[in-house]
Amino acid sequence: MSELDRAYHALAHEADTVRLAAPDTLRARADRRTRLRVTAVAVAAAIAVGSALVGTQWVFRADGAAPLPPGSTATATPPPPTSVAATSAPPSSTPATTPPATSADPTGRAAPKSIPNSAFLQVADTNGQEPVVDAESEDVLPALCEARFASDDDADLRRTRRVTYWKASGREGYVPDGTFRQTVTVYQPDGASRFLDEVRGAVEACPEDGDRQYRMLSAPEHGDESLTFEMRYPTVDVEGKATGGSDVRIVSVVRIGDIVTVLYETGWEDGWSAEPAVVNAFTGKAVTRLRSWLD
Amino acid sequence: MRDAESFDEFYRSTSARLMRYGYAVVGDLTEAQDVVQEAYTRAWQRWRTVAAHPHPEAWVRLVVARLATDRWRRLARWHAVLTRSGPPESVHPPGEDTVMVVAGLRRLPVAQRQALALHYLFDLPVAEIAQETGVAVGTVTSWLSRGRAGLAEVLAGPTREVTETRSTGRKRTASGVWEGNSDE
Repeated sequence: MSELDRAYHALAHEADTVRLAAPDTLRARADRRTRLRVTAVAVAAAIAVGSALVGTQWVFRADGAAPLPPGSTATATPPPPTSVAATSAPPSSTPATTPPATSADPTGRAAPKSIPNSAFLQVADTNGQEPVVDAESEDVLPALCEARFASDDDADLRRTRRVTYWKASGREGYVPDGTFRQTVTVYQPDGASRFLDEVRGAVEACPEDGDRQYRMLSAPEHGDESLTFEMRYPTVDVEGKATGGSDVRIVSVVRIGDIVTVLYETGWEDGWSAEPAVVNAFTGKAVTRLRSWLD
Repeated sequence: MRDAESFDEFYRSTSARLMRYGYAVVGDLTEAQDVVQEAYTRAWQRWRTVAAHPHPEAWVRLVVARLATDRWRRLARWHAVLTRSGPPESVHPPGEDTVMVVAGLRRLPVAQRQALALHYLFDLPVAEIAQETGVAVGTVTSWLSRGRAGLAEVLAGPTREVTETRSTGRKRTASGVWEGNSDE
């Protein structure tokens, strides 16, 4: 054995005395970091009115009645990502099974007072066990060239939750296939259809935004009206450098009457894209949940 | 096998080797521990990609080398987080042989430490070292030759060399990482 071999042998021996963290500790750390990443995507570009509305949680009815009490998320500050991994499903601030609380407007139309958890995708829909959590500070849509939507003035209630999903059942122990940022918004009459028109117009007016590209997609119809578009951007490696490929995120928007649900697929692992068929399947589940709430 | 199980098995079967490699490249046990754990954390963040890689261990080695090269991008607080769950147990002073090789390695740029570690710890042929470090075979041969010569010089007179190293102003950072990381 040469002197250098001996020297490296000694160095290796010393390295062997170091105890490394358990693998599940490292996985939990990595998962927390990934949750932070999918949460942080373009937060600064949140729809302005929507954010203000969510921030206050006090909603004035068009009929001038007293402000409605805070919605079901009024005290449900999004839990820090570190708590997500360590806990099971967070306590629901709203009974998930209650029908929509309503108040009559001047036309006699019943409008929801709040948007309960039951209006959103549920853990049972996700093919996994990751809790669905409130995500009020997160964007409803990608930036779309900093688009602003006049229909936000007609939004009475808005609530956003984050859903971690797997494509198929029995996937416990596997890396998630992606995450959805799901937003449900209750509009005044005609506001919902105006929102869809504005989103469609924003996508068509913004084919490129820096290194992001947008385009409308053909997809099966859902609800009273629906649309789907994609956002494509360069895949980056572990160093943050472009690999030459691209990742695709898909956004699905569905209107049922004056209510809109947006499913913004925000991914999990860099290098993996949303799949249209999967997003369509979850859109169907989201519509079912929304209808169950409304019925 | 489930992703979590395959990662855990991969970690258990490779992390000791990677810790040796990290120490040989980084040059400080605690820093090496941080770097190696950070590399595995990144591996789990893109486990589908890494698991499909033809040589996942080489993927992690590359991340270790890059983290060692670019210390500013390291997560310096990582150690504090993990101390609660897994403090290093190495509290004894390093052996004389280790002191010598560490003193010698201190004089080399990271790329040369990387090449030497791949050669002496992993027995990799020059062609594979060239592939992993992204340089020509001739460059690796040159690195190994110069690295051997440099280390041999130190090992021939450890006391004089350590003193010299200290007096020439090569200093450790506050976190204990070596200076002199200017790769060729």
